[in-house]
Amino acid sequence: MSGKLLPHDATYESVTSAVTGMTLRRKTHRGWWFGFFLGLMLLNILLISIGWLFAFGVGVWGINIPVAWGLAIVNFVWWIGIGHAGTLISAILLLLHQDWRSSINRFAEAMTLFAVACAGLYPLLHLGRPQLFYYMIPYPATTGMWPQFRSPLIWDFFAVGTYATVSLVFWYLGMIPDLATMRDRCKKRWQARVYGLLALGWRNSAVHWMHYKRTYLILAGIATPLVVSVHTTVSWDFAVSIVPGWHSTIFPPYFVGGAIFCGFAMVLVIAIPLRWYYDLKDLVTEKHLDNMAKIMLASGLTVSYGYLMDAWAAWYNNEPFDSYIYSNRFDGPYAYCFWALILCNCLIPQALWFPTIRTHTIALFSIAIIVNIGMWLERFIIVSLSLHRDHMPTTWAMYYPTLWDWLLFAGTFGLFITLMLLFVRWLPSVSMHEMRELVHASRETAK
Amino acid sequence: MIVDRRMPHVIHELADRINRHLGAIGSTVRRIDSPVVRNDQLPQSSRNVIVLGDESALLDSVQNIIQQSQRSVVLASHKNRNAISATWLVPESHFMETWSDARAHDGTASVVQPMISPLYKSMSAVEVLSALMNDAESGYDSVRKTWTMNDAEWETVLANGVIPNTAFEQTSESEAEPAGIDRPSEGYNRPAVPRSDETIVELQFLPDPSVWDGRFANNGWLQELPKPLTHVVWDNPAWIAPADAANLKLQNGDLARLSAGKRAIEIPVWIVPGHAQGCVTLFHGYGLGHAGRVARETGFDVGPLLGSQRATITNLHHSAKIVTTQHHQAMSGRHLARSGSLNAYLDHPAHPEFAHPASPLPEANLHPAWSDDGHKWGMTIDLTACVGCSACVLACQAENNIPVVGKTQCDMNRHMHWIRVDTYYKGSADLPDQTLHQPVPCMHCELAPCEVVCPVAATSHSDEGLNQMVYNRCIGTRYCSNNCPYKVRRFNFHDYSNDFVDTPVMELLSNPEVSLRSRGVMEKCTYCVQRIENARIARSIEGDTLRDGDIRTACQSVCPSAAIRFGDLNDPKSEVAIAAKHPLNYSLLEEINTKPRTTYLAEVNNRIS
Amino acid sequence: MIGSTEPMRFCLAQFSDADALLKAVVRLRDEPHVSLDAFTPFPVDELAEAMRLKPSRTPLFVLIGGIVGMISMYALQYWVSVLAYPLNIGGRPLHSWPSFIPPTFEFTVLIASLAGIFGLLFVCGLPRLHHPVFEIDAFKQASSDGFFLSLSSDAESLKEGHLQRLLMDAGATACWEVPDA
Repeated sequence: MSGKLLPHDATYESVTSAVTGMTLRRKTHRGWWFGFFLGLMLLNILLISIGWLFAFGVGVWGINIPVAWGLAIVNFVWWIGIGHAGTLISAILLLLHQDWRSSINRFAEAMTLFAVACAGLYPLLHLGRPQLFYYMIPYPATTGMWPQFRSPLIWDFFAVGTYATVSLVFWYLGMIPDLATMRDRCKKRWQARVYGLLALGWRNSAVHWMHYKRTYLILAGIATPLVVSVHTTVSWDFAVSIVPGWHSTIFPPYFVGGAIFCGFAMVLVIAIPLRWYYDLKDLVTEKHLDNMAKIMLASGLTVSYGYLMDAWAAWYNNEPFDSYIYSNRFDGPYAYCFWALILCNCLIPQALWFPTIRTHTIALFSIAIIVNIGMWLERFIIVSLSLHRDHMPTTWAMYYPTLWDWLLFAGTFGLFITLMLLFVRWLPSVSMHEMRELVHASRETAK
Repeated sequence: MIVDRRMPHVIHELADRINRHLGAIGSTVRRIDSPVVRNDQLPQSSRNVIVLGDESALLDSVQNIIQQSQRSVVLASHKNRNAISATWLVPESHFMETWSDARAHDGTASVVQPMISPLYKSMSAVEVLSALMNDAESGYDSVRKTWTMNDAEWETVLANGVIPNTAFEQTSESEAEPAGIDRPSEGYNRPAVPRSDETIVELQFLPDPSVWDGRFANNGWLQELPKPLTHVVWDNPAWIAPADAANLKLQNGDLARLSAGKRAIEIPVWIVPGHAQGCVTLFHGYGLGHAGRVARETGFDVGPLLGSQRATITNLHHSAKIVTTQHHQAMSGRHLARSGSLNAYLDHPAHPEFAHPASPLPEANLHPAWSDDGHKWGMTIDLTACVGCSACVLACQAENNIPVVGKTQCDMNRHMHWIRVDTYYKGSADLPDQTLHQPVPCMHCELAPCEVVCPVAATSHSDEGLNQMVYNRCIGTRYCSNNCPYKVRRFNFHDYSNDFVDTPVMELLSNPEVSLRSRGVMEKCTYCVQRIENARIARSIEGDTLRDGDIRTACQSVCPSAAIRFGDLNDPKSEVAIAAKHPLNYSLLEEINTKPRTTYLAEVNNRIS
Repeated sequence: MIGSTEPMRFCLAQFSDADALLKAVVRLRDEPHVSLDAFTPFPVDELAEAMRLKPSRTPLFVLIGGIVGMISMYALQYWVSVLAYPLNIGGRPLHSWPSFIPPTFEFTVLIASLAGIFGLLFVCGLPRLHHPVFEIDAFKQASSDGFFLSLSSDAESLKEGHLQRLLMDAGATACWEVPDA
């Protein structure tokens, strides 16, 4: 397999310099500056919307009673779902010995981290009194009060906190040897110092490598149930409640499937332009795109199955609340969202059955964008539309996101883009030591 | 039998016959000569005018007199129309700041006592009159002088509120039975509106249910009180029948022009199921200039059409923003407000079918119940008694410092009432068989779904079964509201209470027993926990324990039909415990097993099915 | 082993590829008074075997971290909900054990992972920004395509140049002695 993943003339040096060249040799390109400017603009929008939010309260959004959770939670679930592909690629595929992950795992992990950073903002910002978020931390307060551990939000707090920490640790751990490479190859002294500090004095010792590989594998083993647990916990925010449309046992697998679906879509959305822009076709080959497209297809089918089961359960349990929620999705005031979702998540991804589509970058990129939109709609439908018509018809109401809802969402793209561009500019965006290992392995098999 | 005074004469006569037949006259029905207040005795013009009180500000005739006079003195509580055009304005005391007297409709006189001394330098009508009569005495002295009695009698009158034996005499029973209405259907001819043209409608004028003729228009509580049936707030759309609206292609909130001769108004319409076809109901009290800072820019003036019998209606093809707090009025197959006929009840007195439809779920609980020793607070609401007047909503608002949030926030479904009165129509959507009113406060569920999802334990159960909100602890995740199947929780999306209490005098509005809630905090009905504690303290000072009736929640205390009962469910003799064991008693959404402490008594009606 | 004590002498040699390095390790690993370490741009599994390294202890750290995390979180939840501030929350039992599992799991993972990475840094003696190997410019290749072997010794009896000779004999392409090791 590795034959397809690497050009046949790849050497240790060629794979290394292809990556270090992205940050050390190449001058900051106009395109990067343009993206960075765009990112900063959006980041400013984020800061302004947060400022506005803090000044006037969550009332600046369109949320209401009954729809007390709106875009903030939708976006939280969406971003955290995107994050999952990174951990999946780096941990689960590592355990499954999928060598092709090596060239994409680093930036997929970075994507995880930045997506979790974006996601993590929302639960804090959506609080009515965000300054008191620390009430969720179990600490000995003078009031004698403690968190309430029966609440899924506390589970979520621990899950997302753990996920962010472990993702950061895992990402950093994977990067230490590459930071050492950067340290050894950069020309400027200050750069060498910074990379040197970050590399913690890594010197590629065989003893260290032995400990390192072992630990990395174990962490991958731990991260695997973690990534499954995080979206499961996110789904419990809904499934544990008694809201019709939320109270469903299919939610955990269906959420994890959805997370993989849109996470891989996001990896493709990032990988395709990156590969083109930095000319990384040797490292991220068509085989990679093909594999990711296959995973997307499979997880998309899981998600479609989830919709089907959801509808079936709503019909089968023969209870007015649940069955109404579902019929309301089909023909209620937000039906256009539901049908757009079916189009984006169930119908269009079927094009991925065709191998030519799976390797056609523009088609794949477009499908990936569509899937991301579809998955956002799915979260909108689950979070807000289940609330808008629940048990008591007298309290039914519509939810219309306001400008500040949308600006905050746009703003998190700013955070994501800015962090992502800084990452590709300054940090090794492909795991060099794993690429060298691949070269080594291909030489061994060639013998 | 009582008949609405808007009913045609023939109906009144018919009712009278029935009353005679029942022998009610003289026993339950007393006839009196009712005093008539006549507006038509006003002079056309005058050089010097004194106008007392706010009510006349709504009359154009008074306006004209003031404008044509050389000198005018107006006693008014705020800048109303009269005050603006008067030479002198005398600030008027509120009736709760003054001594005065009054007569009830049956003639019983009562002494009006002040609750507080006047907040501002102001005078009452009594004081103005006595000042003009050169013996500028206080209101108290005037009232004492009117009703001559010794101090002991005076004290009794003040305590009782009424002066005994002052009701009007009953008129003699000499009238002969009205003749010629043996077959009332012949005598009663509905005034026919020519329906050859669908665009001509009969007009009916009513005072607004909350701001009346406009005299209460400057009261935010009343403006934001959802009006019975439509639940519209801050506005007075014209009511129209569903069929007429369909003919004219009018939707809720669409503007229509109603023109009668040269006079015309443009007003949004509201489709009211069961409204008579060919008729439009207009509410006055809105759209008046100088109505005050609260009522500014609210509603539509129907004055120009007053006096017209019918008008031509045309669709203007654009709409106005009309806000309602209840968008759906069908039960959608759910057993929410339950009702049945008396016959059905008599068929199953122990277990009426309509109160307890077959539930597919068995009594299920996975874990042991918490002990409910001691007091076990509970509430029952009798749907048969409830008339949907919404007095409970206002009483709760006043008692619990619930802020007024304004039309825009209401439009975003963010009104703050802790108790709401849901309206349901049963039967066809256009011509419903029945209208049901269901007050919904917090259910204080024993297995409260809201508490379990709060991450910081800001809402928990007291050992007396109150579902209590700890405002200081709340961080505002709003998860509790999502998980509340009754949607009775209210959230401070903005700094509502500070925005509402925006002038120093507004601080006096707040009940000191209840804390104000800051931005970002969830709130809801507490069963008036401050009243529970006050009653407990009062009893403990006497060295006694609480008795049934000691605690009356705000909603209960104003309910005109005593539909709301509150008390200790562990006290088998308490009113609420008896009601809770009544066969008509049921829990709202009992199938989701939240075990509410607030329960309902299903409505029983006289329908023959 | 390098990192634990400061050696008297320290010598570094470069080899052409992983195989050459591996052969040299096999040849030199039993040399008396000398400890050796290899440096490769990627993990070479055979090297650990050749150097007869004991299996890493980091899994043990992870296990201990996980157990500590699990017990402490469950204990905290039990103590908080049942003993410290018992509250009737929606009529649920004080010891709502199913609800306590998710935070317990997450905290287990968190502490296990942190124990793993800090344990790794501990057993590797990192961070350590200064090391004799960094004195040699050519060592920079170790992080891209250079294969190195170092010998160090604190035996005073060792002759000058002994280490270098050993390395050159083992097939090194270049050899350096670090002066003030």
